[in-house]
Amino acid sequence: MKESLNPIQRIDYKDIETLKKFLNPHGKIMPRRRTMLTAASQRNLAEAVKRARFMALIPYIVR
Amino acid sequence: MADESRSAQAEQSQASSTPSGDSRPVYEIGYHLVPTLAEDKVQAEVAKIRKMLGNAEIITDETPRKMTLSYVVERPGAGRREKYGEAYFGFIKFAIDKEHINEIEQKLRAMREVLRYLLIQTVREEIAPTRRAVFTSDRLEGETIKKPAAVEEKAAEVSEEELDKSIDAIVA
Repeated sequence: MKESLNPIQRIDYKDIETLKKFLNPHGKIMPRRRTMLTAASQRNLAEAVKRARFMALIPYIVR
Repeated sequence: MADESRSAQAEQSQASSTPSGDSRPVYEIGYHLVPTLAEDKVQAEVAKIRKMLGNAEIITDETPRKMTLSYVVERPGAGRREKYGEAYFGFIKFAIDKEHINEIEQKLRAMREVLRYLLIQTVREEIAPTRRAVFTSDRLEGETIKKPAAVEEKAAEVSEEELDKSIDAIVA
């Protein structure tokens, strides 16, 4: 079941706590089958994660 | 890393809605100021950025706070590359006409005190986490579900007579 009313419709790149829930231990964005987000939400999430990475709020990679 | 290209204003799909009279698009600048700046000089830099915005309507303004960066940010300095492991991170949200944006970005790029910035189009409303994101995997959450502590049954006080009576009843 997809989270249709999920709160991730609006996600901010500064909200690291929320973003981290959707990252795996290596700092990669989890696939949709794991996040259970709608396609639109997943795109918003990806955008926010990439912005946060650029601003060094979250790492690009965790080894 | 295509850092420079990413800093260019990234379009956000949501159209900026405006409850108030101002129909100008809303933008947000997130920026890192170099950590070599003294604590009391930070406000002066913020004032510079605000001044740069001209007649923009400022919606939210967060004073930069020193934070540890997730990775070392490098940039070419005088002679050798400058490396920073921490910076003052602040952001400012404002509404301004589209044609001023290029000019603002140019000025921002020219500021040596700004280590890195991100200029994005956004919405006027605060993007706050409404409720806890639904998370289906418990593997990464790491919180172990504890068994509720068994409530100990308290033995009710029983008098000798009653005890004897009940024993008799069982035996009989």
